[in-house]
Amino acid sequence: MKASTCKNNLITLGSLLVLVLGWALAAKQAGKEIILPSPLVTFQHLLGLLSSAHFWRHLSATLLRGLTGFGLSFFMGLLIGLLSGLHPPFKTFFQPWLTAIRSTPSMALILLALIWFKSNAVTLFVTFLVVFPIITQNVSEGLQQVDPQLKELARLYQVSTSRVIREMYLPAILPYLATGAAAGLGLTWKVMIAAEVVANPPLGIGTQMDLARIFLQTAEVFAWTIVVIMISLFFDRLLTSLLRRRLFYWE
Amino acid sequence: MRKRSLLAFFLVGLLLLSNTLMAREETTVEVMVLSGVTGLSFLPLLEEKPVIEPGIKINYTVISSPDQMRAKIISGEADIATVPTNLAAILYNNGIPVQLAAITNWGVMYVVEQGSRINSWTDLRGKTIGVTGKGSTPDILFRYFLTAHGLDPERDVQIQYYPTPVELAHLAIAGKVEIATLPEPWVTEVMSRNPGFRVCLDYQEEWERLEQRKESYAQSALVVQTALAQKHPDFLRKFLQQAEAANNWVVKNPAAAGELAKTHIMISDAAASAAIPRCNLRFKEAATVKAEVEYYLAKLLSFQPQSIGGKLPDEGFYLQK
Repeated sequence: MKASTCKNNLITLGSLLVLVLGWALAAKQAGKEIILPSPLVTFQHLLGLLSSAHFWRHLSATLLRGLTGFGLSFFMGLLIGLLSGLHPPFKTFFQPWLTAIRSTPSMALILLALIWFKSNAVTLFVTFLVVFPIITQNVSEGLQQVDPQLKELARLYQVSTSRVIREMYLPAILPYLATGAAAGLGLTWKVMIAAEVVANPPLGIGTQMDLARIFLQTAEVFAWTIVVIMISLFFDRLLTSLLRRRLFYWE
Repeated sequence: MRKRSLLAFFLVGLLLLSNTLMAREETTVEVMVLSGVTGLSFLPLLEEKPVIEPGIKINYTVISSPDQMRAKIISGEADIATVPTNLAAILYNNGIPVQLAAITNWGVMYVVEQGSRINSWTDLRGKTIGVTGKGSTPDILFRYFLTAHGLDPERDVQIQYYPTPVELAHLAIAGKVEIATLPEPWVTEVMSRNPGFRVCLDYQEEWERLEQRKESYAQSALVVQTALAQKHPDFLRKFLQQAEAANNWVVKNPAAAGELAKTHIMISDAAASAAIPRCNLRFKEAATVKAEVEYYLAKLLSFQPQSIGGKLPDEGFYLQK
């Protein structure tokens, strides 16, 4: 176990090394910083960002927006998912809506939202529409995994509703909810940044990326991109560890 | 299936190859013009495609977004191109071998409002104003003018940002935005489709007044690849003369130019004709207006260094006559 983890770590390190090396070579080949900045230059810009005062303002604005969007999607998704999973007519009713929303390109949502809302609301609206169907889908699928015979049994023995929810439904949906939440949270950052780049809210990473793009500061765009990757990784890890603890508890 | 895709791959390859081989036979100069008002000066050239020098073929392309234009200049596809002057400086400062050949227009920015409450910059106090492109030059200048009139852009007014003039203009037409900063031809577009709107403030006048300059700020420019300037100086000199003549014709014949605008640069004829007098189209070769350009770039540098690429471009930036 330990030996293989160690080996895997080595492979990961090697993989990252090859990536950075490839990047450095490509940058050398491109020859111009505005086309492809080298890893070193990008790292310097990243350090510059981290030490600037406005960095934290933009970072916190995006974090707050992302978490709000994800939170809204999570709760609405849970709600609609529960309704759909417990009462099949609801599922049939919501299905066309969800399918339609899911098939809509997120860029189309952004463009439409731009016409309807102010910049701050655009990002929330788009994130919500992209993430909430994923949660809904997963919750309702989880509920369908509950053994119908078990449901029947619970009904026959008149097990209390709260016990049914706690011991029958929750364990069933948790793995699905975990998958849905992980996928949803990952998408949140991607969609949020895209919406920010287009909608330009006063504060936000996407706005800064767009500004850097306008002025051809490619290294700055790279640096912000690394920041977003870090955010995404951080929340992914956080969620996994939180959910794993819960999941083990249920098992 | 596999054979077919192989064949298709081969054919595409052949096509690309033949294309590059054929292009080498004679000198071709790619002139790329932005659609919208920056393209106005070049309408007669786009229409007539005059031969400037025998043996040199000129291709004219109209590009719709500044982003695409940047890509074409960086990749070297565009030999002669129109860009915002600050972008020309950014490119030059980042080692892209281009030179400033001429300034084509001297500002097309206005503040428009629905109603008649705004008659001076100080009247903007407490108002919500739609501005495009946070951090772009129209935004930088707008903030500068506010500050010059004792207004704090963060506190005394509410600035609502929109990504491009297209969205802002449409919201103004729909009556959802009451005060907006817009470039031509959107100013004309808004006023013709929503008659409640009028021009209330003029960036160009304000610049001349505040800065005590005879000329407004050098908004749009014509750049050339340095290689072209070195290899074909005669051609370039003649081309610039033709471009100047084209520009003068447009200014003198707004109605006829409007017709051409409809076919070439995606502006309706009525809007183009009405907008031309407000576009400050004055074609000046870079060497003759170096002081004005430098003054403008220095000002941008003091507001936001990255808006011109971090430093004032050196002598080599200006194409010599």
